[in-house]
Amino acid sequence: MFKGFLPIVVLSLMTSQPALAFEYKFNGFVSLVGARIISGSGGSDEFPMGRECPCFVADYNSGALYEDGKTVFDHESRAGLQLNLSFSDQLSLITQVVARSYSEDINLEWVYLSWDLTSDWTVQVGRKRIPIYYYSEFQDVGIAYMWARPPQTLYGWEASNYNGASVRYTSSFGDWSLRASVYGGNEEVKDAGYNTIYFDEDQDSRWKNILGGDIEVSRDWFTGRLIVMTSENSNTNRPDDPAYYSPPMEQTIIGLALNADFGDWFLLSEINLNQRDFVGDDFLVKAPAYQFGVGYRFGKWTPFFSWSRYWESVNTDPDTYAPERFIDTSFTLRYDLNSSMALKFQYDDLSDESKSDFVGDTQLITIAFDMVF
Amino acid sequence: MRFVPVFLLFFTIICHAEVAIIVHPSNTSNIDTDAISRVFLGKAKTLADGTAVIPVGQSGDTAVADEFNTKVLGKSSSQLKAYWSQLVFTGKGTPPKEVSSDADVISLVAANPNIIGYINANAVTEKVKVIAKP
Repeated sequence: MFKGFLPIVVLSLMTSQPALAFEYKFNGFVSLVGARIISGSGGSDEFPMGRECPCFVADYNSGALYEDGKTVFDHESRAGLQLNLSFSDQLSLITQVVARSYSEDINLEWVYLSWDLTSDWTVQVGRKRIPIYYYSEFQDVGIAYMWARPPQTLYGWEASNYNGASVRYTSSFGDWSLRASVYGGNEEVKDAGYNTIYFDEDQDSRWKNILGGDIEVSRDWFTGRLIVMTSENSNTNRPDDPAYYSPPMEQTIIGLALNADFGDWFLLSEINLNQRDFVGDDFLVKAPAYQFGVGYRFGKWTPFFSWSRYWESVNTDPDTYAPERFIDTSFTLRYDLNSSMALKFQYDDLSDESKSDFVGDTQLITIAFDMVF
Repeated sequence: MRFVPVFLLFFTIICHAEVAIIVHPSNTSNIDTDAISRVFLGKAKTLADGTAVIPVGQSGDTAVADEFNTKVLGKSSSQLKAYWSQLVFTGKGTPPKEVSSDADVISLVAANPNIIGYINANAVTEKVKVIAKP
């Protein structure tokens, strides 16, 4: 009786009267991830922070990387808790905190007010994830995708969040569903993890005037998403200069994701063109990146093959800027323990084709346990 | 020879919960299974004629929910959880409210012309209207 009565009260409040009190809901996720380089060659022998390569970047955003010969579980493991407070049908406050084994801090990844203007239009103000790539916004939630981690050949920059506002439009036209948004804001990252991959000294990073939009359409087995984003990026240059480098580098990103899901077979693809114009130093870095994946669901088992490539080119000499180039070929076997828990086993073969000694070639094995609640 | 199909029919009934999708008796909107799927996946909040619609599901561990998810949404419970995780943790949507019995769904649907739900076909009463048996 009680179990049934409560939702009836809640629903009747939702649908027939203004709510008198707020509702709250907790959701969360956990991912335990361990990995080991099983073989590797090359790589810089003067890698920042005294780390030894060949090595494999686990997460560009945090700067975590796997070093040869060590099995570690504390580079990518994380737990998140989300609280959704609804003050009315239209207004809610969403807070998501994430604790990562790689850092000591508990990060406030998301905190924003969400206001449904109509059934189609939503305004959100606060701190959110930057939706650059298809999986960017939920890349902490392992259960939501096939890999042990989205390919770092594409994913991961200095900044992953922003403080600002977004407007979203959701609708359907015939058999087509549409979700589109525009967003704008700023982000500043003190001692950015990303920079520990490149500099011995801690450096801050800033993305100013982030401005972007995305449009996602879906119908039956098809989902497509197009994004455009620009920002003005700069870093500090300690110990010489603690101030942000000026003028900022101008970043432009255009991305297209095309996915097909036939229930058993599914295909995932993503193309991303990142352009970084270092206006102060008069050179331009163009970085096209591609990812293609195919998988097949056998009941609880899903084998999944993925290929990705990140390929920089630059209109200056390699001493000024050495282009980074990688190809990551991976095979993942996912096993769904139940609807909320999955185990993943992944093999990555990363080929480092960069124009200077960087991470080197590596073969990595990863095991991940993902759950949501 | 006729006993074979009869046997198969019986076999089907005992192996699968037959699902009935129900609305308020006053609801005259034309709703096909694709539209039902979009509503239950959070892709549409209104029907083609502009009527607002509120989906109500059943707990994920019930046979009728499993049957509905597979037949109408075309997703296993794991796929559905992955799908909703993408939306829940990015502020793009929340899954339909869930209740734990056919009787609860009937009470809600009978009380609100905007609610759409699903129940075991053999639990249908005159308080609700069946619009599809996928």
